[in-house]
Amino acid sequence: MTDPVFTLENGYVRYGGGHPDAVSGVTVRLHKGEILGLVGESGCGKSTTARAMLGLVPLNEGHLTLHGAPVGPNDKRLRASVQAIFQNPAASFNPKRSLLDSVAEPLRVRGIKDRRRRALEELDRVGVTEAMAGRRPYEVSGGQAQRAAIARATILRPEVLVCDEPVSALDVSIQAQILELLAELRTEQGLAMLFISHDLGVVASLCDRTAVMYAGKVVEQGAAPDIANRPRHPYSVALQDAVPSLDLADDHVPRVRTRAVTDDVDGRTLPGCRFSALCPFATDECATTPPPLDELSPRHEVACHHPFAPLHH
Amino acid sequence: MTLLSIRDLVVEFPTPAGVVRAVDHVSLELGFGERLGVVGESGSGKSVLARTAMGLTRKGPARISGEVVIDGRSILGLSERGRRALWGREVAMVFQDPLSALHPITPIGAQIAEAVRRDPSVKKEQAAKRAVELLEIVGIPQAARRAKSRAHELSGGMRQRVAIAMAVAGRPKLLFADEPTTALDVTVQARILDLFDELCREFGIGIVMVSHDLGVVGRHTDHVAVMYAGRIAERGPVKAVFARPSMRYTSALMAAIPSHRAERQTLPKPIPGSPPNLLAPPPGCRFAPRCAFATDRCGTEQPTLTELSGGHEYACWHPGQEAVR
Ligand SMILES: Nc1ncnc2c1ncn2[C@@H]1O[C@H](COP(=O)(O)OP(=O)(O)OP(=O)(O)O)[C@@H](O)[C@H]1O
Ligand SMILES: Nc1ncnc2c1ncn2[C@@H]1O[C@H](COP(=O)(O)OP(=O)(O)OP(=O)(O)O)[C@@H](O)[C@H]1O
Ligand code: SF4
Ligand SMILES: [Mg+2]
Ligand SMILES: [Mg+2]
Repeated sequence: MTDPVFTLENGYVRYGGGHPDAVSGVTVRLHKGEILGLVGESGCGKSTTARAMLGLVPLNEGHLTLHGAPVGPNDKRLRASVQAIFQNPAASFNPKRSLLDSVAEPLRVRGIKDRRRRALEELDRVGVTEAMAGRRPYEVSGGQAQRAAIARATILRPEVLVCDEPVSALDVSIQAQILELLAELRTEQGLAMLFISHDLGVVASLCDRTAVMYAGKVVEQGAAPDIANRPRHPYSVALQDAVPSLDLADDHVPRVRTRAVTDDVDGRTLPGCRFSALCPFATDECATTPPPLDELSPRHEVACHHPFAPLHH
Repeated sequence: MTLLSIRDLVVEFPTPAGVVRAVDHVSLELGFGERLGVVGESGSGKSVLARTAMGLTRKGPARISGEVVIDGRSILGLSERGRRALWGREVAMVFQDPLSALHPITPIGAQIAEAVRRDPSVKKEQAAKRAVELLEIVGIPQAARRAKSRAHELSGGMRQRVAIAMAVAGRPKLLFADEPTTALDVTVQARILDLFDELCREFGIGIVMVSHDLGVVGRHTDHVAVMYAGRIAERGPVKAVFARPSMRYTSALMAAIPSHRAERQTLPKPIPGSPPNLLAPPPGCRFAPRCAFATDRCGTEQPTLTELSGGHEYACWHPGQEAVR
């Protein structure tokens, strides 16, 4: 394995207002030509992790590294190397300007010449025609706007792309087109990517590795097919079980039944494992001692005192 | 016995740019206690179909023809008052955003009790008790205490459960659910869908569920209707249709869904092009401009529904499971 291009090391983010940390002790390492999927339920801290890596929210603890060296959130190198795309592309553009102008903007800021030609070239590469490029963000489809957002993100040839739910607002067939485009960027430009999605199918089909977050922590991390088919953390198992499979041959017997709790418990406030209130395998140890993220097999890490094995049935 | 029967339904919206035909000669049937899934790309007419079937589409802005019969009663000819009397009692709806159905200040228990009292024979004290029972049925823990909560104090999944409790409070025979779980986490979605299944089994409620998620429909409905540009592309028992998709759009739609059990990276296959402009749809098969199997005939002649096997019908001149050549 090569050294990572860009990492978040042991990051903590606290929004304040007396709430527990949104993200606590999260490490994310992105490698050249590799897409890391980040999944987990709403509010578990996926977007906060992304924002911390983009320097958009301050880290209370921990730091970022670029090619092994620490880099501050306002560092110019971070801005040049790490770009982002988000869920709602139309809203991330200036509504009064054409897609072409918006895509050329990063070039203008850096005083780069020949902007129009280069922006058109970049748009063409992601499948936006010259005719389309003259339109405003609300005059094109969601898919076209997301393509333009990708062109804007890649025009300065960054090394890292942080994608927060980039296909969630798109219809399936357009979603498939954007996934193809992202896969191409990985292979052809060797981009390292963080890919956040609540859709486990999208993650399984695109990503090389998958990290599962629960209540502000990464609870499991490994090769995407392993997380999809052989998850070891009880929460990951419950998550995979919950996806209704289109493959009707798949019998789909839930492997983990989470405990019904009498009240909403915020896992972040529990002293031990954050999943312990819901976990059917929880013991006294789970209630008191937070499990560390341990390597169970090469490049497959799990934070659980009793990792799920099919024997648990 | 037929609970819902839609016959030759056409819904058109006159707009300054022309007439949008959102639902184009759709016929469907559903029995008591049965579940029907409606799938298709954005803009294919799923919501307009569901809303019109429950009498929510207003006739001024829209032109409606055809027939909708719910438990023997024709819906489209009813007066505003007649339709209001129906809602909650005979038919109810659950939307994607439960907040839109809930009052922000009134405690949820009182809101459900009010829905229960749409049945005039129910007394006030009974209604409050029934409301707590309903909260228990939809799986709200500590229902008696929760009944005093307001909508904003609940999580998204809890709110959707409350919205469902409200919808079934008047013991409707038919429930329309438009993307009821799209905004929810998969684990929460799973519980809501199990709840729907139970309502059908235990109370014989019929459900029409609009969803863009083929997995949800495949696992939690009995029949499916695939819509394309306002028309039924394919329909039938859900297992039969997904095991042997025949209209090429169904095949293409299935190939465009990423598999969450992939052992290797296998990207879903995009459907080329985009759905037709409903102001000027293609004259033959609506899907022809995007279809890998289209011939001249597809470009000029509209395919009609043809039966493949027990109730499984498709509208295609060149049926098959492959999406690309
Ligand atoms: N700007 C903010 N100020 C205060 N709290 C915030 C802010 N943004 C997020 N939070 C809180 O931090 C936690 C993590 O939120 P985050 O947006 O990172 O979750 P997420 O995993 O991206 O969820 P989703 O899937 O819903 O997008 C949540 O409890 C959320 O309410
Ligand atoms: N009131 C209206 N006036 C004009 N056109 C309308 C109106 N309501 C719906 N339409 C059009 O009818 C078509 C079908 O819309 P509908 O909302 O039923 O689609 P849908 O299949 O539910 O899509 P989605 O998956 O995005 O919810 C669309 O082209 C829409 O723009
Ligand atoms: S009728 Fe023709 S164009 Fe339409 S789906 Fe079938 S093969 Fe394709
Ligand atoms: Mg988020
Ligand atoms: Mg809709």
